[in-house]
Amino acid sequence: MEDRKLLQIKDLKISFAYGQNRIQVVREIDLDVYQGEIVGILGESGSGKTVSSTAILGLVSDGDGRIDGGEIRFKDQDLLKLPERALESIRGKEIAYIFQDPVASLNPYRKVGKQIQEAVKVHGIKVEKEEILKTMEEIGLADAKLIYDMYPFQLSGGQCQRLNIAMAVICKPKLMIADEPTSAIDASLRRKVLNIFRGINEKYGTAIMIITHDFDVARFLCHRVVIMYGGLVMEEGEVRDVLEKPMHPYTVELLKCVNSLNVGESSLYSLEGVPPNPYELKNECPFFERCKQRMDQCNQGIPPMVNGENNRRVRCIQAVSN
Amino acid sequence: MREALLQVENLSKHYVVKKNLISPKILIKAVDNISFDIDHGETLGLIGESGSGKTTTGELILRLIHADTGRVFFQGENVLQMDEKNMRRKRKDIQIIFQQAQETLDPKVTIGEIIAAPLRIYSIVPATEIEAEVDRLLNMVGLTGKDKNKYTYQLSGGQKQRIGIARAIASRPKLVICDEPVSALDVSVQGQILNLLIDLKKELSLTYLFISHDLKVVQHICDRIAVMFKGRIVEMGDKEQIMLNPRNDYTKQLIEAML
Repeated sequence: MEDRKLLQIKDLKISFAYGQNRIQVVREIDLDVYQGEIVGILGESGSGKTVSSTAILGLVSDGDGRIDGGEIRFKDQDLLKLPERALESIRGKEIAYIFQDPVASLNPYRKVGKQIQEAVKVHGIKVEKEEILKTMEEIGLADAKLIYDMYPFQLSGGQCQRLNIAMAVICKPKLMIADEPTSAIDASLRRKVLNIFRGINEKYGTAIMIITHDFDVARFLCHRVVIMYGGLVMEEGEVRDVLEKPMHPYTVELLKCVNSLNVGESSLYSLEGVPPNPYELKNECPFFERCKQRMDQCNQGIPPMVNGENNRRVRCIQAVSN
Repeated sequence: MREALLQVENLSKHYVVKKNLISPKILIKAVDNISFDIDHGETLGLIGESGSGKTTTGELILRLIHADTGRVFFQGENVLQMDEKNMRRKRKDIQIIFQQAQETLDPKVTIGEIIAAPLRIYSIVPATEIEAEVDRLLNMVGLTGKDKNKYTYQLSGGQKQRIGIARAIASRPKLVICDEPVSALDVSVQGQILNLLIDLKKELSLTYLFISHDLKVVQHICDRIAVMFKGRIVEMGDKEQIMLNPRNDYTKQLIEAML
């Protein structure tokens, strides 16, 4: 298993400036992505899922963000220690990132065909127009020839999303990271876009990391899931294990909420309380306030990660005592 | 004979857009000749992709933007032809809950003042009873009187939406337009807010126009569903009929895309 690791995030800590202080948004993330797998990073807003994933490509340290510790290993090198120039040769070429807003991530002043050519050229890859058209058609842009000479504003959100995916695929990256790839597009296209990701994974063996708040997306697409809360990984495992036999009380409760709407219970199940405020994170389990199974020890420091069978990991004291 | 609280007839809103100096003018039909009724006590779901005209429809009914053509009868009166003074009075009966509660709540005043404003404007209760009424409203939406001295930045997303709801029901409206009220909320709080909306509807005999892009949510809360596509209502019917036996191609796509 060890040699199949494509990406290894260890003890990653990220904070942002807030007035005179710093707030810890990512407190300690350990996360592996294996070759050829689709892994889902699931969490509610503020859990740190987007920030951790942008850190992989060195996109955190530009503004108020700072990486306070940890490493991100990709192909025997620590991405956090690489100079900007070396990172540029990895960004897009080896690791592609698909942003949440498909229209905003395209250049509004350039015809889409030109944009794709440019993006590819940066990585020193030469691609004929024919191949770009072929890729566009492969991921479901039927009028590729026509679209090639259009501007982003002439296209729908779904079409722009496909162009972003086409741009990513054409460099044949080892890893694709997609942040909420279905939340900004029309609901009627959701299944199609997810099927495109599945197709890419099966055809090219590209590992894919999907960041989402949607359990249905994870269930539909992912092999493995990582559940985040309060800047920590709370649970991790094969998608079936986690969704059918959740071990962390947070996952258990969240799944009750999701299933309640899915089966249409007359009174919907919901969690009491609110997710922890990143300004007020304490040295305790971030789910402590809302947990129905909490014990006295749960607010004595952050609970350790417990390893289980089948690559299962759970951050809960109860899991130790079981 | 059905008794409609709201009747929308041939409502349209078109925009003429010119992308730059030399480009030709383009006509965008944001809302294109739509008609529908909502009965007393009913919840009608308006579903469609972004840009399909759902939000514009809600804003046209409230006259937050002006319609080009069409008629909107509320309790038999055409609100599109009312003068501004009467319309302002009418808005007591038609309220709206917005998607981004944060952006529609004044950050500089306390929660108590936000909820007291409609009570004062519409003279719902005598001045001496406003404070007690604010407490009552806060309790109804699952907050307490203690929260009324807080500012919105001290609240979570779900709590802000509760304030948005309290403000909407303060004037004791008959119709509430809910514009994506839960789509900015986390999964763990969505259920709380949907439950609250359902409870309040029973308690206060409200009627909802529920705008959403999420078929699962609409299916849960609505009696009837209208599907919008490019400014038009392409299909409308009872929830079961739409979900189990959709006729329109776009409706079929929406249902098939559910995971």
